[in-house]
Amino acid sequence: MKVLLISNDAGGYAHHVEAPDNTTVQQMFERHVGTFHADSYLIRVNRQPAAADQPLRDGDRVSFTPLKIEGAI
Amino acid sequence: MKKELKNDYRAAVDILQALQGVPTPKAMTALDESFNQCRRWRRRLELANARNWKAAANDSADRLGGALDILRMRSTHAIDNLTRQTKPHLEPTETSVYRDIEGLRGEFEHVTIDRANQRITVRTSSISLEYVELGSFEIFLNWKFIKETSPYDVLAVEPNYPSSNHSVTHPHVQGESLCEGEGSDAIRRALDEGRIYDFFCIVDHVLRNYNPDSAYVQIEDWNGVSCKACGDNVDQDKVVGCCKCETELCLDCSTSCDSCGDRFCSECISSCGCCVDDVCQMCLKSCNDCGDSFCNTCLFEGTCDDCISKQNEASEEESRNTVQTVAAVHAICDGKATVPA
Repeated sequence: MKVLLISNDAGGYAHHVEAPDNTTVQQMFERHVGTFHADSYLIRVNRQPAAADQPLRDGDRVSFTPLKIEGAI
Repeated sequence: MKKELKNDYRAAVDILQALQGVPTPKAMTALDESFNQCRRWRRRLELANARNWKAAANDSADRLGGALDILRMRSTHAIDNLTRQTKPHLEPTETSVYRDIEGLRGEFEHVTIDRANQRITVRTSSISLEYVELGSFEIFLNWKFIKETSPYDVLAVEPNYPSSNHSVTHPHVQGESLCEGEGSDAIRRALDEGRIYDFFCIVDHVLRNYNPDSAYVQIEDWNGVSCKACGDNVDQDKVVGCCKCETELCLDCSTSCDSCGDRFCSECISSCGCCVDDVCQMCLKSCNDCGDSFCNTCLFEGTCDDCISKQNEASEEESRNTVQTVAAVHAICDGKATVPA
């Protein structure tokens, strides 16, 4: 299946990735972002809150937005 | 409800039109800004060191460290962007932008669309940083300018200004501009790709974080100023600035110079070598003889009491010797003294 993966970490990126069927949100995160810290990210599937074990479906939009983004002068 | 959906869809179409022809993200602009920040703080550090302003030097060193850290982070982003430019760019569609507007309505309580002014506004929930309540903020995205550097404003709904600066509503917001820091590249990328849902979420998260190394006003100084010596919070009108290094202090932690009356921090005040009064370095003078430092009242014509006493003792000793020599000579002349054969 193909999923739109968005990471708003650092430079931010959004691209379509291939993933095995029934890949969960956590597996997607670990594969593309790093160690899973659900409490450090706003995790959304199709712009809706999602649990770590939620399986993804073809065409889903998954976004990971860090909760800690520091401003500066 | 139907009218709102229609309005949202029309706004999505307008936003998509405004987005057309968006150039490739320019991460290098942020990199240039970071270089300039580093140069600025390095210059200030050199100046503070040259003038021996210790507190200012410490502050500049901290800020230079912060600026270098951001430069390192932006360099990483720039490398990432150069790598990603070869990959296909996400192209927004009317549906994706419309879904973003729908998503915003689920994520935030207040979302308004003003098509006449080409503006979408999102209100955050109340924001509190380190126990300072800053209230809600409205983020206005002017989609007419979505291709520009900063097409959005951030406005405090009920501003809680710091006592020292009424143009600041948040440690990272001055006027209506947010200094995005770590979020800058992700914000630009989200806007370029028409991901307005992500854009508002990122800005919301930047507002919910505090970077003490790079703030217009430090949060601990929000309701006054933190004394740099004891850490107590002092009202802005009661704060005392050291007359040499400008360190902000409470009255108890500053010392008045007994000569000129100006107040100084403990590092910039000295004491007279004679009366031990607190005297600033400007008012201290060196003794012409011993070179030690004294206040004006303990020097007489540029010489300290000890040196004057020593001079007096020396001259008395000299006088005594002269008197004895003269007496001896007189005795010889009068024949009262035994003259060796």
